[in-house]
Amino acid sequence: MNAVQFRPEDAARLARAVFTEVQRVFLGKPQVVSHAVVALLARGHVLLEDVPGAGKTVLARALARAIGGEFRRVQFTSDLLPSDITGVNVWSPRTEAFAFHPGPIFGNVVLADEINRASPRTQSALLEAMSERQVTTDRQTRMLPDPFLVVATQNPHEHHGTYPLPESQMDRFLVRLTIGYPDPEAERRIVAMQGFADKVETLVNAVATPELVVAAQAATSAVVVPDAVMDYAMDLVGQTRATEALEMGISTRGAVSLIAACRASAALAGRTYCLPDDVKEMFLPTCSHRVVLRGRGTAGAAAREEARALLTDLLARTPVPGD
Amino acid sequence: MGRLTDFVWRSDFFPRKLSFTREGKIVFVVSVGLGVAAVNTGNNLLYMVFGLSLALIVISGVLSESNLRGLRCSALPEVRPVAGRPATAALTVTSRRPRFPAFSIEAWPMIDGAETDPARFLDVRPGESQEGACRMTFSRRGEYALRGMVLSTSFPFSFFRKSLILPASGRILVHPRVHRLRAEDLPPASEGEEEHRPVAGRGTEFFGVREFRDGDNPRHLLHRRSAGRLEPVVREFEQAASRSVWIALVNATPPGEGGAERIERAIEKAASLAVHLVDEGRTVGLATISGAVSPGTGSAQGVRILDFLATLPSLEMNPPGIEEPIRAALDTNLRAFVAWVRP
Amino acid sequence: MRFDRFHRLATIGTVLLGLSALFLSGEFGLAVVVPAIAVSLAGPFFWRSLDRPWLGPASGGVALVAGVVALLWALSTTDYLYAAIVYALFLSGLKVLFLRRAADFMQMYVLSFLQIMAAAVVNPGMSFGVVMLPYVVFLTLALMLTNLRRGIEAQATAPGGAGGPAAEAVRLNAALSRRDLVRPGFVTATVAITVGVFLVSLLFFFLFPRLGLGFFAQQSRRGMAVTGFSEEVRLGDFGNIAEDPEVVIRVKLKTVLSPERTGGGGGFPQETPAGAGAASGFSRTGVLRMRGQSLDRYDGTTWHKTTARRRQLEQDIDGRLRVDGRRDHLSVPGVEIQEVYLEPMLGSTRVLFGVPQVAAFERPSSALEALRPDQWRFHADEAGDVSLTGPPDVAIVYTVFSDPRPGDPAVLRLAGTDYPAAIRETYLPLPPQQAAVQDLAGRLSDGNPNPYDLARKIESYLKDNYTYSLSSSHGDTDPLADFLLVNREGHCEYFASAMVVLLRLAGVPARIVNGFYGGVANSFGNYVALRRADAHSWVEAYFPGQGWATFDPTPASALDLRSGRSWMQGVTDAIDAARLTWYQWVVEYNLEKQITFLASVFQLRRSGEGFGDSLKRQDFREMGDRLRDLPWSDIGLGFLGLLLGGAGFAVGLRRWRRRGVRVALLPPHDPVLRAYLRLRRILSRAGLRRERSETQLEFADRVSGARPEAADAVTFVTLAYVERAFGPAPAGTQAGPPDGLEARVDEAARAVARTPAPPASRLD
Repeated sequence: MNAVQFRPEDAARLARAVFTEVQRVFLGKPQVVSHAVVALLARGHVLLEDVPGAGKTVLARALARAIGGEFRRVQFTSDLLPSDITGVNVWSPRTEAFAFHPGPIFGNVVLADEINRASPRTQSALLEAMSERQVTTDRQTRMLPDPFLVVATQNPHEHHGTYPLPESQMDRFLVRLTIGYPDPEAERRIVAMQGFADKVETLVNAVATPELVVAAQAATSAVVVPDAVMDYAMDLVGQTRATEALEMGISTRGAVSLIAACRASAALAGRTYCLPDDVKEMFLPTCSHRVVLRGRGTAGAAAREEARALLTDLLARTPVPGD
Repeated sequence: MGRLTDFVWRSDFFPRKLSFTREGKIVFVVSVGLGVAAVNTGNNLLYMVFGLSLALIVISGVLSESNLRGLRCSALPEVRPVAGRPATAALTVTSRRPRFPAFSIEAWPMIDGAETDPARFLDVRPGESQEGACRMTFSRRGEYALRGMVLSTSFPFSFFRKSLILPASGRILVHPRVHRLRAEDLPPASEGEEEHRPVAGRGTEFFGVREFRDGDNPRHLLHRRSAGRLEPVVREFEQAASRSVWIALVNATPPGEGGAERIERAIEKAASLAVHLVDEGRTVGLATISGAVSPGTGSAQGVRILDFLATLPSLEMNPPGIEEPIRAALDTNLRAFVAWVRP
Repeated sequence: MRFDRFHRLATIGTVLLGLSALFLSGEFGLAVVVPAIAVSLAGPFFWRSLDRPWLGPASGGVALVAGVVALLWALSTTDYLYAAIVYALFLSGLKVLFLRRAADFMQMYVLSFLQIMAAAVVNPGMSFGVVMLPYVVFLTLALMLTNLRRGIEAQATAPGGAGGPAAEAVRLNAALSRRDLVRPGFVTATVAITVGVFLVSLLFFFLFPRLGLGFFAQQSRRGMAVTGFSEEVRLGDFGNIAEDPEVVIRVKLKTVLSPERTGGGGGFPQETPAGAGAASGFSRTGVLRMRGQSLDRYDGTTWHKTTARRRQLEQDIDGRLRVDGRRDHLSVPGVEIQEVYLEPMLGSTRVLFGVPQVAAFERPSSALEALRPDQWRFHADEAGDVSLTGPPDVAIVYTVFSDPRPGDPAVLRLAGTDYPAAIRETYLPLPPQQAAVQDLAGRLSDGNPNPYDLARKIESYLKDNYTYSLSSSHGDTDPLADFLLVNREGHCEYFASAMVVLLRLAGVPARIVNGFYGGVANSFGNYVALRRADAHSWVEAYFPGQGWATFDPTPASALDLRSGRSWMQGVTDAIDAARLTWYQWVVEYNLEKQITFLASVFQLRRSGEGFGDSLKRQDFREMGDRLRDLPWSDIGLGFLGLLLGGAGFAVGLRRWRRRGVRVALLPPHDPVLRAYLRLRRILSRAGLRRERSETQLEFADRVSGARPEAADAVTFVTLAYVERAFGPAPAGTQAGPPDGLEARVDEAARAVARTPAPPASRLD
């Protein structure tokens, strides 16, 4: 199926290049960028939770540009219908047949803006497409392009007229990221180059092609996870299930995601094997949105911070393998 | 016996409280039996086993004491428990010892009239702080007094439970129970036609369009657009977040059997209503005979109302005209909808 | 190591030790021992497969039925104790299969504790003490682990946890599999607590007042008693005990022996100039003759005692009991004093042994003993043999005063043949003897020597012409004639019987004497131990006016062989000395010894203070002496061993634990691992230690921040380690370390040594 064969080292080089390119326009937040690249390598999706104006769009567009892929954007509103995302069959009088008009989901990087504004039905259409990587309309199944990365955003501080994602749906995002305010130095540069913000495409070079990204993804899945690292990750996962303050720990899907993210993190670092450092690096972004606090749920900025604090504490208590 | 235990626990005369566990009682009885057997037979090996059991008991006492030494417990954090439902509070135990960890530590607040399930710490290392969750269950709403923080251990052999009471004081406000309300208990929503007080301007703003779902009002169907999209489409209205509601609670005990019970029910119902309405985004106020909470929105308002209801007394008498203070409060905002709650 | 596994192992240890204390008594057959041990070994790890809801009530039913069976069995055999113990064993075997919750473990330990109690009754041997020490360790550990288990259970099953019982079980399992609980802090605490428990147990043991109903009683050692000497000896029976190495008598010699009397193995009355020759009873090398009882009537196959009429010996004013009523005996220089520790023998009347000629006996002088003078009674029979009557199944300690000097041959030669009638009647009759035997007697008495010379002649005749053998058989009809005329080999009873018969045929009154001869000097306990195999028979002949003189016709060389020292002797000696200490200071510990002990602790040397009023000054002096006589070196050695053992155990446990908790990523000799660990030690000395939750790279970063000079080297070595430990195994299994790894470690060491530690370098 794929002509390009990558070694893990090649995947690392490609990932580093993408990382560098995105950094050109998305300043001061290398960790967010690297986690987004990790999601790309691990064939996952990103949930961005932040106030508007933090640069969510820039991140998605820069990513799309760097991998030479197609960028699509959907603004979620309460009247958005599933077919507005997936596409519709339109009767074409000329050919006298229904022709499929693909929706905005048919892109390599899809920015789903403010998904909590749409109705649950529309949300689930998006989430289904995310996990299945295909779309079914009128009993016809169409594959989505490869690579396929959804960057969904939601504003945690806004509640009115929204449908917060249920816990089970949060699970479908590989990582949840918050951007936060950049440090003053970076912010100055952002403000200074604001004139170019719309010209992401001109500032960011396309350093890869979608085919190469797919090859890099394949190489990433070949990264070795040593038993000791696997035990460490499973220990952490098991502890979330035994923690008193958590009503629901990390699911098995969460554990799978954690390991996939660790592989990608190792690949990004140019390694062919995972380290406990990868687990520690990826534990918070991949897991903090998968745990349910007792009596709090997952919604809201306060709950998010509390979950992060709890998991950070867990990391600080769990012994790392090795001497 | 119960009263004696109670006395020991309450008095400040005993800084340490010691109680036998079930195993401890068994070991004690076995030891006494062993002692009798040893003295009776003069069997030195029985004396030796007897010595072992006594040593276990003695060491147990010494160690449980040293196991509590140098431990501190954080103050009880601010909690707003709800009657009848367990509330969780995070307690932090800190070891200030230079060496030797503390094992099997339990910590809980000593609150009269509350059931507590302690926070448990298996292993607190020297200099380490650990956080654990303690659960408290209060059967009734109201104000409870915190008498102290208890640190307790049954280490090393679970023969005794040794407890140390750290001074602490405070009040805990327990909110009334909140129930999920049935539809008929709810005051009508804004788009309904059932309001008792017709008020000008419904505040029904057009919000958007979405596909028809089961349960939608068919009168809101947009037929033309439905035809265009080949599926039914309805008009969606913005929720009436700005509508204000007064909850009027008559907190007077009704005459007859079970009056006290009924007033509690009424308070719970008022609390449930308040929570529900605040969650809907409405402006809610509370008026009772003993005072009122002026209308407001948001979760802070919910807490204000629940705090007020937590300590709300119930009037023993029910003379005519007792509702006057409520009506006076209601008159400050004539446009609000009023939900009456009577026992 | 996972907590659950560690706890179950500790439980197995506790249960097995409890069982061994019981089983080492030897009272239980293999049918009980094997299944009990097998179930206890396997049970704690098979509980999962037995975790069925209906099994709990079913096992309760089984226990009930077994209880009824045990009760019926007890009623039918009337051995209630044994039945109760077997039932308790059954219960513990059942319980060990159902160890789920902390409460189950506690019940298990209660059952195990009951077994130890039963063992205390059934097994007074030293094996109980040997088991008790590790038992204390394991029980303490197991109880502490159970306490932690209880906490874990409470945490995992707290009300309000999410999910149903299934989720609860999963959480509990996960919590019980924690690896971080059993760590050095816990082990140190355990060791400290175990030592504390042990010392406090000992304190209680020694200090708890031994009052009550067992006030004067000595510890009974049921089931350990040795068959005593009976009043009938059949020729040929001796062979059965000849190989038995069990120690029966331990003798401490109180008087200092003069060098002249260290003459080696002989020790028989022999012609020696000046009469100060080899003592008949003593030798420094440990060869000792302990006379027991005499037998007078011979019926052709068996020796009987007809002189059994006894009179009670009365205490003299100095507390001693004189056998012949002569006071002067004990003040003669050369009188030997022996302190004898006699193992329990069956029956309530025990023959007392002593070096001939026995003059007097004495019970350990004790003020308390004096309160109950009737408990022990000394008797002497017509033959002058002394026996002691008292409580059964207890060991006896007594002191013997004897005059070991042989009679002067010159005097004995002149004693004549003017025998009293009573002596003639008792010590001359013989069953009819074959003519050849009579001829032999006649030939030996040719020349009409005096009785003393005749006895010497017969003695040396038998020694020179007959062979010592334990295996020869002589038939049932006239074994003695067979020995004398045909077979000419046999053991000491034949030699002694032959000499008595020949003497009596020649008209000299004589009798056979049973006792012990030989022994091993125990260098640890400073005593001579006589084993059952040292049992011996010899001869006494009567001389008017002089009494009985000792002769031994058995070839001395044969007897010397028996007491040869083997290379294992040191070990055997040490064990026997430990056993004696165990008996004297644990099993037979009593109020008197307790007072001695306390007196030594509080140095109550002067009389007139406290309870000293009732004790004489002399008693205290004696107590002090006895205390000084305690095997202090043994006690010291024991404590040293205990300390070393405890330390070894702690170190072993620590190693073991480390291996368990840490997934061994690299073999211990891996060069990269060694380099990395060396680096870590260097950093640790500089106050930089890796937190448990810190990864190696994070640690390296932290070190680089704190000590920038060392950053390069530390990072290099850490990366090498990380790649080695986590990276995929290189193609060649034994790839060498990167070049210059050790040099980089040295570099880091120098960098760390150069810079003084910044005050806030420890991040914790």
